[in-house]
Amino acid sequence: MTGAEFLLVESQGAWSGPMAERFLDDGAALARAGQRVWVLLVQDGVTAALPGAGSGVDRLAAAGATVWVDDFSLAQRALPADRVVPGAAVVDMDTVAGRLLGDGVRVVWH
Amino acid sequence: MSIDVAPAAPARPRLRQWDLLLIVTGAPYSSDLLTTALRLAQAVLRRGGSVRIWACGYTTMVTQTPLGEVKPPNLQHPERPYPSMPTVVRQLLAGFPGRVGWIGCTACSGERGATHHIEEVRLRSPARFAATIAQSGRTVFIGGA
Repeated sequence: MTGAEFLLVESQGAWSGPMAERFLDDGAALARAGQRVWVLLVQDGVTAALPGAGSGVDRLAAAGATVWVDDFSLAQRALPADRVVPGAAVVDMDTVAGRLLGDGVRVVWH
Repeated sequence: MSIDVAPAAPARPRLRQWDLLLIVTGAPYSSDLLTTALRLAQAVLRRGGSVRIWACGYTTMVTQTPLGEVKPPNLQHPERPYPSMPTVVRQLLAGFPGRVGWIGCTACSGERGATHHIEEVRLRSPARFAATIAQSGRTVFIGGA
């Protein structure tokens, strides 16, 4: 299967259990399989994009996935946008909505 | 030998299609889940899209009339009114007439005693869940059970 596009939304932090990290790895696996993958980190999920938080974002970037970090969630947690790791980009919800409404995009929310 | 053939069923009217269906099930005050869902809905609406929100589980609690129009006073800013969730939903629906709908699940409402919703909420049985999904170009399920 090739050509599908996925928007994966991770809303939970690493301390909620192992599923958040595994969800990011699912995105990396899809990207390695040739799918176009966007991963949005939102709510507590934004912590995965902080330095020292783990290697999930790095693995996604290495696999070719695009990693987005929700600006509002960062601000709500007093996390400066310039603190996110280089493999991730800070975006607003309008950008996410544009991707979500794209043809053939499949959305999975965790 | 003749075979009886049933008459063709009358064509069903084509139902309106919505761009996005957000099924929101999480407890509204346990995280910023509902805030995220509303932000996403607003962003889609700002882009000209149409959105339905199916409030399920504890999300059915947020449109109850006993919550009033404003939240209890914020002691740091007692002079400033903060809209209650029913007011936020009402403002969302009024802000994008015809392009956003709020559905309350009857079973989830009944189980929680949340039976007095603002009049803008359209109540639907879970038996219409699949039909509602079929009317949507894209469905996103947000939250736990």
